[in-house]
Amino acid sequence: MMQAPILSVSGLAIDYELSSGGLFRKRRTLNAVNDVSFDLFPGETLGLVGESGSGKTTVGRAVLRRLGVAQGKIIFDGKDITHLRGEELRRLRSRMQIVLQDPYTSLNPRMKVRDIVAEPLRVHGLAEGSEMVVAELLERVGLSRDAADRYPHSFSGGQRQRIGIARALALKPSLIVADEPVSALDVSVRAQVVNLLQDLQRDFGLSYLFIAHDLAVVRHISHRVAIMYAGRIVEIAPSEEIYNRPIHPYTESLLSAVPVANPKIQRARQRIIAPGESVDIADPPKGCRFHPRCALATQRCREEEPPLLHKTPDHSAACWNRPA
Amino acid sequence: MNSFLLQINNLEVNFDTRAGTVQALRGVSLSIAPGETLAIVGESGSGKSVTAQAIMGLIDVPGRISGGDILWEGQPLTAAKVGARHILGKEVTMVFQNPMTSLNPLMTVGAQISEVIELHLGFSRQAARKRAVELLSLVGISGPERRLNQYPHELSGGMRQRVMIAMGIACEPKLLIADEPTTALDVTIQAQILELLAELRETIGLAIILITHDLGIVAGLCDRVAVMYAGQIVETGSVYDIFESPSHPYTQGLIRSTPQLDVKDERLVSISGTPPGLLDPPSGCAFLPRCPAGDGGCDKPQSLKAFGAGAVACCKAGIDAWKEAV
Repeated sequence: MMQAPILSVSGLAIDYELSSGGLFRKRRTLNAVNDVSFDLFPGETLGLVGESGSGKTTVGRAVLRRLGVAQGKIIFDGKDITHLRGEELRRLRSRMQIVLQDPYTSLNPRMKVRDIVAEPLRVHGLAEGSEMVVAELLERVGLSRDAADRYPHSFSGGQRQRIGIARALALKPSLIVADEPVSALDVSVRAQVVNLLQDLQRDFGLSYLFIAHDLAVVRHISHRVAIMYAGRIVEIAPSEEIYNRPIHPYTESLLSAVPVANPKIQRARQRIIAPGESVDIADPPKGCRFHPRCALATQRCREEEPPLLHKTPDHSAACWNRPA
Repeated sequence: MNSFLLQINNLEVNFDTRAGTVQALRGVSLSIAPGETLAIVGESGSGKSVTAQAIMGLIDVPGRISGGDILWEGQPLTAAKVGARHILGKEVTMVFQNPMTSLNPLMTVGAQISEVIELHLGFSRQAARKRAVELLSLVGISGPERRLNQYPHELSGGMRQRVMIAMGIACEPKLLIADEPTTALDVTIQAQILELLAELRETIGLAIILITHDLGIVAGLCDRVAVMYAGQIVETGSVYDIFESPSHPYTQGLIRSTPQLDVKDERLVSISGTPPGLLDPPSGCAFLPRCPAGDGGCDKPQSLKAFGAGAVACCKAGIDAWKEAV
């Protein structure tokens, strides 16, 4: 993968404005994501993992330019898209699509599947001949052609997620941001959708930014994984690397908390406990954001925030106390 | 047979809807011994939550228990019985998936826990409050006195689930039914809650029915597993047997379609299709349309029969159904 990245994010920061609480009070902002940098290569899946509130969805939405960027740069296919507007932004949107978590609320219940899948084509002035395209797309995601004439309510969760994927594919995008695409699905159906996403990637050379909290699914589907904690990426590495040789103490604790579906192995495992709960990002601690829960924390961790540094050529982590 | 805490025999639950009668439970039998942890595993709609609701007497119109019985320490347990109130909510308690919707947002945490203790144990208000403090520290909540005066919205998700568990164990029940107790929580908090349940099992000898779709949780915590599909139990066995040598093609598929954290496999087994509707369930094996091992012999009714150390409802029990399916 020595080619140029399809997506390159550097120093990304995103603020949310909190309600001011009064006419004359000072506006408060919440820094949801800070100093996030990563590359995504063509045909690659980057898993973005973290607990609720860690900022993973915010990063995904910023990449799609659905959120204002406070700082940093987003380069897509060699072009700076951080501040694109108007027609240019509209054109860009055809090349990056999203697949959402909840297939029940993300499809318009009053539109036929045909219109749901064809809508992006229509918006981008490609409506002509869309009938054929829709039929092909439906077939490609494993639905029958006559699904086009039905409404979303007559489909199961897994089938609806296939409709959402067909819609995302309609404009032949290069990048798909998949935000928890399988977490609402039942186990047996989840595997169908995971396999479909992998097949589509192979056939169309798609790149996925795969946002999820289920570490087992992420390991299965991702080539590389980035771990987020309190709005920062604390570790990023090829998936095998991160699961076998985690560097950051938070990654270790997170991985050890995921139960393994094998009674003998699971009962022999030791959990690495990070006491306390995830930090309040409205009021983050000074220094490393993980230091109040970290067993290795030293004076330096309490004062200086560790940068994300290469510990080996393809494995980066943000920790003062863990050299390569 | 009398050593069982709870026994369910051939339980049937129907829901009357405009479209017809949904047969949510179609002859479910299971039992749990004191101090035992039983997992009920299955997909949404398989009947695992309905089983829990039936035990707790929570099946209400349009639903009804239309057959079978539930025995508590050998005695019939139905919500209509006067004695049932002394058992349900006291000796058998339940923890739900979403602590935010099961706690009363207008009552302090202390008032909600005390209410349970006053009602079931006849404690005075003061004694109940004292017991509530003990319970909160037992479930690992720091500063319990302060927490008593807080409202549910002031607590984090993990903390709320601990409060639910504190209420669940307030009367030292013999059986706790936990319906997806950690599904809404982050993994690290989930691990803490599961450790808490394991600890309570040791310290107060609690029997637990854990309803979940997460096989990892089952592997770590449970002694025995019942796998449900389309309103029936299709396989039961010890947790080791179920994971090492699952015998029902559905159980096999379920395990092999779950990505593993500790091994990287290239391709997941995918069970094609979806579970059947229960408005008009098939009379034969409900898994037949999705089963790679199914054939013409499978359209006769399947019942749970002893197989190995467990029980399986499949005429092809034990064959490797997914051998060629990857």
